[in-house]
Amino acid sequence: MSYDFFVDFRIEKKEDVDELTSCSGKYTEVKEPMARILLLNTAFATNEELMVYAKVGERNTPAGLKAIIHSNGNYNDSMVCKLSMLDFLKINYSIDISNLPKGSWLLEFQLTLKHPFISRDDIPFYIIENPMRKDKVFGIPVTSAMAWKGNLRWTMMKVHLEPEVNNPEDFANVRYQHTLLFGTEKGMEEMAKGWTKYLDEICPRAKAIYRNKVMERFRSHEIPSLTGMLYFYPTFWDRIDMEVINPHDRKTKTGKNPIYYEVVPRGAKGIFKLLYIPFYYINERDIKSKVLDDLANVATALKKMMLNYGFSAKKSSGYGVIEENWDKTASNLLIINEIQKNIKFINFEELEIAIKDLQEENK
Amino acid sequence: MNESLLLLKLITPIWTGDIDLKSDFIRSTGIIGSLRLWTEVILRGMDYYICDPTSDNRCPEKINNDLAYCPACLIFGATGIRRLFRMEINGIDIKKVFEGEVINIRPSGRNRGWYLGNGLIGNAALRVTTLDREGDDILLILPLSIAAKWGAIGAKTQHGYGVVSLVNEQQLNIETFINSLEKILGEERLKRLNIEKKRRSTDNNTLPNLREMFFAKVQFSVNEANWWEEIDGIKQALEPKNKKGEIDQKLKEKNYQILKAWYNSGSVPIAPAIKNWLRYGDGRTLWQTQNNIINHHIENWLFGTARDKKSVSKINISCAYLKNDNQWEFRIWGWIPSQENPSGFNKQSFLENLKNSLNGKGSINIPWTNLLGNHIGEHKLLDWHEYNSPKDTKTPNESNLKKFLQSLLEG
Repeated sequence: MSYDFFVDFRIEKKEDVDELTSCSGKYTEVKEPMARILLLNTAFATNEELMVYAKVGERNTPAGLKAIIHSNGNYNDSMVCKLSMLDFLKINYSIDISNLPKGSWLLEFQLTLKHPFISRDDIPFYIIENPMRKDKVFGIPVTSAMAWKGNLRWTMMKVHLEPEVNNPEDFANVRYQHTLLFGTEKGMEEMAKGWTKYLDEICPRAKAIYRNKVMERFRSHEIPSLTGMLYFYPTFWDRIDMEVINPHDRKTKTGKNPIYYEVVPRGAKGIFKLLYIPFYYINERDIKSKVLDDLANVATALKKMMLNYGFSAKKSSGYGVIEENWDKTASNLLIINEIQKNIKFINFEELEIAIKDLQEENK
Repeated sequence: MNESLLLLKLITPIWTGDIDLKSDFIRSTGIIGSLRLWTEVILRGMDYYICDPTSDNRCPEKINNDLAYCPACLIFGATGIRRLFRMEINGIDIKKVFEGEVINIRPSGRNRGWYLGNGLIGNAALRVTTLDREGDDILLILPLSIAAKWGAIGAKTQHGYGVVSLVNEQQLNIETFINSLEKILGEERLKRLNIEKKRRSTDNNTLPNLREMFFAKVQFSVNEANWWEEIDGIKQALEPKNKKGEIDQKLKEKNYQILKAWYNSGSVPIAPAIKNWLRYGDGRTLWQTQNNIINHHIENWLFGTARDKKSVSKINISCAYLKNDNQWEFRIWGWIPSQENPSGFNKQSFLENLKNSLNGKGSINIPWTNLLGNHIGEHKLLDWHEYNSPKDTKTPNESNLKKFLQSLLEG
């Protein structure tokens, strides 16, 4: 007997995969689905046939990862307990913003996936090539705060920046506004690259105006490294599933090397949370209108991201969009100090109307 | 952002398989894959080099320090370059054609027959959002329109699945498509993206190409509502026998419910009956060698095989679908390459024979009553389309591909 878990419980033959799948035999004590999935990795040390079996089993008899995640639903069953643990530990809790600066707002609402969501995990060793990104401790599929930020910034660019490419002054203003919201652009280096290079190139005449605006605001001789006013939170999803893409040979039209991947399936639920702290406006007179303008712009882009563009990997194939309506009681737009509001909304349309009313009230 | 919403009516069941080998909802990846295939076919017809995205020669190719992509990859994306558009498909009133796993349709003389699963029927909304400032949705809509008019989309099209029609169809012009294509292939754009256009020409001749395809539509009328019960294969499924040769009443009832539900959805699986005749019946004379030898190599190459060197049928036959009142229609189309044909097979002679038989003028009469029953008649070849061919019924010998494509678009 070895004292190493992965050596002692390693897979050597098909029967081992079956026992691991059904939690029987020498694997009776290994109840945790994530631990069982990681044990499937030991199939890499065997042969190609056993590896395929550890992934999906056989044509009509699912085994291995497919059975644990998809056919038997073991993983989803265990996730119910883990999600209640998150609640108990107050990891997935509603944020208290009462002590934040005036004009701060919190926007939260429930998400129900209309199409599956994919986000590839960076785990180095997994039985299939495309594992779903999961929380490291609990193994719950998650959309990370960084992913929300990246997707929303991209959508803000599509919705608010790109339409202004022919108006350099406006383009620079919107770009500056986005910098305040999201922080310094990626690629803002001596030799611009990536995001910055793209924005410089689509509206070259706005480049200098934008840079001057930022440097003037922060009294600096170069673009400073800034943090944004938006704070994102991870979304924990309540289900996981498995899918396959099977590219077909152009000559034989038969499937070639199926590609398996984990997804959060349609119908899965999670909570989206976004916090805004207007620290760049603290001493400004027209803080109310600036805060509400930012809120309106963010809400418009959120709607586009959630319903049209998607926020997932493979989003150009339709992945990662949500249902248009949600549970009203689970939504919350909380603005503190002076504007002081707590608004419930069932969809983006109601949210946009509420923001418009607030803008009217505070003119 | 340019967004367009296309409404699709699913005329025959559509199949986009999942990890359980079922088709419970329409998966956009299956539809995008299929549309890419139609785009590849059109672009190869236009003499562009298009890679095989499933092969090791797929894009990108590294040329000096730049990555090079073929036009199809510039539209549909590949490693290092994003797709020009986002496509989302949502089913509307979608339901399975029947309940149950599969039905076995076994025409006369067959031991195993065809196993057909419960595809989906109803309507679908296709939302196309262009993600690139230079992208135009016509690059996707035109191949879809040609597939909707003459072929099918999704998987298992060779078994009759995936005939769709565009409900809110717009007038499409081939020149607009070409202009949009030239725009995304423009030197200036490629330079800005630091990429090049792939120009290799090797292995381009052995992949599906519009110039080597044929498309046909056949219509017939029916004079009784239960005509479908006599179709070869369906007839046997409605009288299933067990090993003792007795009628299996339970299976009989199950099969009847399945096939009745299929018929009620507006289509009937006739592909097994026609394929059986073409491959194993008198239809063999249309493709066999001059000295009437049954060449299994040709047979497997033309109609597909799951054994040894797997291949799919080069001929697709759709389900029959209701056109109006008592008029039904089905499609036959396919890609028969001019190169790498098995010895003894003559492509032109086969297509000539097939067209003549469908037209009722060939040396072989298609035994319609044996295949589709006694209650059908007035069967006629409505259209035959083939590039630069005298057989084409609308634009015979049309060697201008633009004009040929425009004629396909006109239906």
